[in-house]
Amino acid sequence: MIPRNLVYNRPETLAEAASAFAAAREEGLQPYYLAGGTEITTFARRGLIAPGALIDLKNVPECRQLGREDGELVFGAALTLNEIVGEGSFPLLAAAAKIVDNTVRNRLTLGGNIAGMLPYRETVLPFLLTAAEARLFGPEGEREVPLAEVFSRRLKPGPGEFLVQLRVPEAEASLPWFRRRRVKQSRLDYPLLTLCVLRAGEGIRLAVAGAFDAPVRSREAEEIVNEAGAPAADRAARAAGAFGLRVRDDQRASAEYREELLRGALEEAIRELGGEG
Amino acid sequence: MITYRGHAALKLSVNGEVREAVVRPADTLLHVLRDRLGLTGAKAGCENGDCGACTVLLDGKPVKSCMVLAVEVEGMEITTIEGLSDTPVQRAFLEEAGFQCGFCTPGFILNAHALLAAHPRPDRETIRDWLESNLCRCTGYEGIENAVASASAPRE
Repeated sequence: MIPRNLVYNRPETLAEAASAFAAAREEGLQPYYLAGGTEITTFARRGLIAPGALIDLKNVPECRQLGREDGELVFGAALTLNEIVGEGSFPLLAAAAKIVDNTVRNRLTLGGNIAGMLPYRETVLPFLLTAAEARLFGPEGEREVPLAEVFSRRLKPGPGEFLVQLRVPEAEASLPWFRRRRVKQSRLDYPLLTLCVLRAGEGIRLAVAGAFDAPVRSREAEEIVNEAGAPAADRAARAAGAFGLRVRDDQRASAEYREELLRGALEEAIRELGGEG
Repeated sequence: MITYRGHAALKLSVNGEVREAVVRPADTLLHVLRDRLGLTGAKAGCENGDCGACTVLLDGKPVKSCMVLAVEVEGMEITTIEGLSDTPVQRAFLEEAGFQCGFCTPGFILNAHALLAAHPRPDRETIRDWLESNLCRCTGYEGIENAVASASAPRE
């Protein structure tokens, strides 16, 4: 059970949600925005967090939007991962959303995965490879900014702000794609490595989770992968070492092992998406 | 906007009946079902979203009730194992010996029931994909998978 009492709010508009968050803070309660709740409920039960108030975003229509609008695909932050897997308009995202088990995917949300406390945040990878825009709402109202402005290793909204939607240009969502997810034991494990790749006109774009302490897109690695002429295996080996980040090294896998998984996955991606060599 | 603080009197639709319960907003659906409504079929296993012993259906979809707050599900139809009676999946579990100690059985049956509603003729890969959501500490997976496959097959 969750030992501490809390206040539960179910707003129906963006403004109500932001007001409820501000009011809870004013009351001295620690507020959390709630979507699927898979992380909040389990972390609260274990005493890792102590929410004083929850603001449930599932009844705010903008947070549940899924579809096309003005040449963009719109993904509400409170959509469940199974809703995204089933819809499929952004194939790389549909593949990247196949994390955890089918039952948990009926609750775990896009926004919860991206804004949550666990370091993997795998569903952000496809968005990092596009000109995705993040729509946020907070005490100052609404703003829409390039995702890269508010996501660096983790989502960084302003005080009291929450993620409403991610929007992706339709043309980018249908680019050729590649994904490899490597785990230690069952396929439901947290990833040792997840590599997501899109092949755009200018070449391969790539982003990685699991190997480092946060999801990351690396332009340096992309430059090496897109070098003309060099053999795929050589480019993959050099790109794997070009992220400039410390590779995770723990009891589940050594840094050397993870780096080898990354190298192998990069080589596969180059070969599958038509890089020479 | 609805706000609950302290204790809240909730009306929950469970197995086709409206049930009332006084809950704390921090109470999980699992504990409200078991401790307030006496529906003990959903089991408290890991309470961490891993084992699936607490699986119930929300509007027909399987969820792990240890990860859902009761206040979140007002207005939704909740199905627990007590709401199923002599379904094809239950008969198949008996025929195929799809259980051993039985602790995980309600969760597996509800998950399989939802699977067959969504995919009446699932292939083995789809069955395995869905059943990965539940753990059986007796490791009786083969009987469980066979039961689900058998329940989906046309009957004479």
